[in-house]
Amino acid sequence: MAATGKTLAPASSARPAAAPAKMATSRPEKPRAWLRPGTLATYAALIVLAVAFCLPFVWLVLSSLKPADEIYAGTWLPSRWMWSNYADVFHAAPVLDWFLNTLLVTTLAVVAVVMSSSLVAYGFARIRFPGKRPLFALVMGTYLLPGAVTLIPTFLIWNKLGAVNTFWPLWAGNLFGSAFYIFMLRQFMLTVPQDLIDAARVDGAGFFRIYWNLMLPLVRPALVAVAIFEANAKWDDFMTPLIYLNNPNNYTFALGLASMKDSFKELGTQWSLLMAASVVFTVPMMVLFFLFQRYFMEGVTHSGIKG
Amino acid sequence: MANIAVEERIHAARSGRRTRFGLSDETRAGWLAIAPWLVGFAIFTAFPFLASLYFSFTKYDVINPPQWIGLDNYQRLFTHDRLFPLAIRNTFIYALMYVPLHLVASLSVALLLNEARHARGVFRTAFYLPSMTPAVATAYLWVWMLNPNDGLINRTLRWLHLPAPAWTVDPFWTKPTIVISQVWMMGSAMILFLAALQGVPKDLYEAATLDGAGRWERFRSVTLPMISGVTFFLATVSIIASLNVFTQGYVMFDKDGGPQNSALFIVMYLFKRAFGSGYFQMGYASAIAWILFLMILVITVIQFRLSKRWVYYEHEGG
Amino acid sequence: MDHPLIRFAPAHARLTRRGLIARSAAAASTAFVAPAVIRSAGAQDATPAASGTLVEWGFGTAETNPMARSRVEAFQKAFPDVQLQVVESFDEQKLLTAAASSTVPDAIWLSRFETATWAARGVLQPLTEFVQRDSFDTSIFYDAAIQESTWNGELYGIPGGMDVRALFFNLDALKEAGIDGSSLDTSDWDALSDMGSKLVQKDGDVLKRWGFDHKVQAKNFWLWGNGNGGHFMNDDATEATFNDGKNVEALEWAVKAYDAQGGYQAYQGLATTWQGDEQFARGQVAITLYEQWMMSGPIATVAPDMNFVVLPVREKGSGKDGRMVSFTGGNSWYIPKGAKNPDAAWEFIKFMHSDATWKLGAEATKAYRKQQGRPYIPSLTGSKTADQLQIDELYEPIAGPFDDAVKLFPQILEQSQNREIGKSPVAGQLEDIMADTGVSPALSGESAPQDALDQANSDAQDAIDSF
Repeated sequence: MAATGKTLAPASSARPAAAPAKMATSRPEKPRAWLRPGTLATYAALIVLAVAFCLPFVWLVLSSLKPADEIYAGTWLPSRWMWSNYADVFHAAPVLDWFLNTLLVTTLAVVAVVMSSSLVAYGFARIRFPGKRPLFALVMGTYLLPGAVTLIPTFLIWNKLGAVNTFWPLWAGNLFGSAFYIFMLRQFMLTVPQDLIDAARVDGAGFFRIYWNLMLPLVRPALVAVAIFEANAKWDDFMTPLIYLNNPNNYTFALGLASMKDSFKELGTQWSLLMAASVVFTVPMMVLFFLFQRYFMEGVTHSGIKG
Repeated sequence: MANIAVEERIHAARSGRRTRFGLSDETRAGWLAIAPWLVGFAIFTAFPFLASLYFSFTKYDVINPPQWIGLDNYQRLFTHDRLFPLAIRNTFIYALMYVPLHLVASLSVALLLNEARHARGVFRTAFYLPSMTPAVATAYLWVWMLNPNDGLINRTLRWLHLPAPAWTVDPFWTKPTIVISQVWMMGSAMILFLAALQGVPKDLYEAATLDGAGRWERFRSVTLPMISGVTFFLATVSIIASLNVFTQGYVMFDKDGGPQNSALFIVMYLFKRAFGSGYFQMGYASAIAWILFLMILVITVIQFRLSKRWVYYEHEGG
Repeated sequence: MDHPLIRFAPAHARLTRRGLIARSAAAASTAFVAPAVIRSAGAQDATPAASGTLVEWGFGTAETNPMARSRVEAFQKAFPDVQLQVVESFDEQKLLTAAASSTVPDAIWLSRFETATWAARGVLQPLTEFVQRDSFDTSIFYDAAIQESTWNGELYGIPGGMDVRALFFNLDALKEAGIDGSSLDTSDWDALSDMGSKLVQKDGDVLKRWGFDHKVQAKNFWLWGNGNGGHFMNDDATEATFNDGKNVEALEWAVKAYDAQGGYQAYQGLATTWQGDEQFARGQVAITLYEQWMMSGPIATVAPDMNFVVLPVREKGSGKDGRMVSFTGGNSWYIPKGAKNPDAAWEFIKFMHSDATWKLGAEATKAYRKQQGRPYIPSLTGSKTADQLQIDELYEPIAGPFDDAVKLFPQILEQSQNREIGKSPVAGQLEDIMADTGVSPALSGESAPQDALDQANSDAQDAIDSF
């Protein structure tokens, strides 16, 4: 199993030496054992930037804990720590419903896209059939298609199917695979050594058996990465729910949060509650990140490097 | 001898048997495997794609059947419509602001991070975390941070006795407002650049140094070309994403388009024409969608053509 | 006007979940029988028994809306055979998708401003037959409300609420600035903007209080244009007259009023810090045009002891007793075409509009407010009799400003008009055009008012013509 060791890096990472001939091909790295002033400046810059990047989060959380009239006071710390804001948010709007709805849609979407994209990717990666190349080019082409072009007819299709105001339009599209993930998984599948597959075929395994029993386990890290990316994307998704969902109790969180400003006039535009709701909305993504950090990094890396 | 037998078996396994209909097992399996995508493509991509082209030549309010009006919609878009050219302008200006800034910022941070040996994971997390924030939450957060009177940014600027622009109410500053909120989320681009930087063979740098190249020279002739693949990918993706900007404009400026419609973007305008009260002009909106598509197509083709000149591919391509 | 069925309403059962399920089980079993009975009885029987499922959009049953909740509960009690499904809030997009997918509700609570928009596209059904069949008295409603619910000569909606706009003056602020608050003449618009300039407050460079807010940018320009004698549209909604000379004058005045106080952008910057319509109550603006519910809402909650006065805008130059100028809006009940249970919907609508039901709602509201420690202020119902009923029987004097205002609002309603563009099926577009092309550029100094309105007019005409 040389292909998948500890890293997710495909073994066939080709970096030909295109540099001028007088360059030696392999020389040991010079270790940088000593601190240079340049390095100090680097760290200083990094610290400043990192703080700047994280500051908005801090501000977000602090704002969510302020009483309504202090939000404009310009102080950092709340005078009273309104933990009750978080409870209020759940009363003021069907926030729990939104949370659960989004969880449901996201889960369905993720499972669907992982299964379908991996199958399609397998077809493109390891099965030979006529028309494969142009079809794959077509798959890539659809990635560039702006959603706006298919928006209205897609809406009409779902309309005809009676699926407006249900969750189907939000996730069922994933049953058919998604260009980006197909591409990414195909890259991974291409790195699985042919010998393994040949061995399986010699043993009499059919193409789908190979997919299920051999391929999937081998590219599991990539599947996890796909799952996480899609989870993040669906959690965020705003436009699709905006078009299809009518009833505020059915909203996903993104849509509900956006509607809080207008619909729930009893609260008015209470920024502290909006911030609290935003925090509740963001926390699951943070948790997801911390749990699967490695997969995120590797997944992002490999989506682009081979691109 | 035994090897040949194995070879033959492998060969036999690879080519597969042929069925009665002349289709090999493999071909059938192949088509089956990609069937999900094909079906989805037919129903949710190809058909809507063509249907929206048809609609763009009609007057259609969804409730009543479409009426054919030929090129009327397109004509109106380019002659009568006051907001459409504005939307195009806004979208392009936004893209021009966002894409270079995004690339430069993410590359700069990646370069810095590349130099750092310690606490890399911590820094990486700090820069990546914002990109996990959901779009709507980001919109609210930054609308609030950039509030002209009381937002954190302006309070700080005033404290430093610097000019404090009226971010969300000045038509000049509304697009920068969105750009800032988006550049804050550059985490994944940064990671990509970082990985690319780490993949640049050290020997190249050493060779360049031997040749007498200074830091800037090294950057320009080694680093940039070696990461050009990633740069191209990111540039393409972010240009397309910025031409499709919707959520930020919609949420940050109350669906309205912002002060003097300075934050009215193409997709937002499309949405308004399709679903806005008193509008319901699906045909018109479809025409807008097609124009957007053609623009993106042209831009992408140009990019791909240009890429041959400046992008250095180390392999023969996937 | 007592609804006949209320007398026979069973005096039991609160609106419990179990109760609903039990009732719907009963209803389900009778549902197959009942419709047949209704249809045959319909023509002769003036009040057929409503049954089946009634899907209603837009009316809240939230605890925070006792006016709606109590009336909906009363309906449920009076019509136990009707299984009511409530969808509390929606927007026009949802109605569009529902109309397109034929999943329309039976009764819908919609802004009257959109009557033409939906009726002209065949989404609503006229109520004339129902009205005639039951001899429903529509004269109890304010003219403006009934007219706005009418399109092409047919009545589509029954008004269920009304809003009206007037000027709110913060008398303490006026006193501080040396302005006499006892003899305000709201027909002297120049005086109003002068006052505004005097009332602006700043903290260094940052605006803290705006002086006079005419809210032209918040889709209120119609009021000021009409107040100057201008018109925005002709009677049959075929011609836009946005650039009527009187309108241009009004816009010029509005622009000057803002400029004198610091300019539109400064105003906008300050406005972004206003939370939940509380700006007047919190002293962030001294004089403002606003809808009447700002009084029962923010002021009553945040600053019930405030020294303020509400006065109607009067026609420019018409003196202290001149013609009151306001435009009203509000919601009405409609029945979409293709509704599955229009009969039940009609019963629902009639029930909602009886004085007895309104009284129930008002009493519930009063109790709720008392519970919250807030004063009770009558709602504007759209029905003259119901409004008067609340003032006569339920309203308890609070303080001078509130008492005067409460009596004033119905008076303004009598004289108020509708937004003329509401007559057009592209009303939404016209509103946007006025805001984007007419008012906004003028306020921000991008175009002169005349040019802005000229352009707005040609765009508006274009929109009307291409419907």
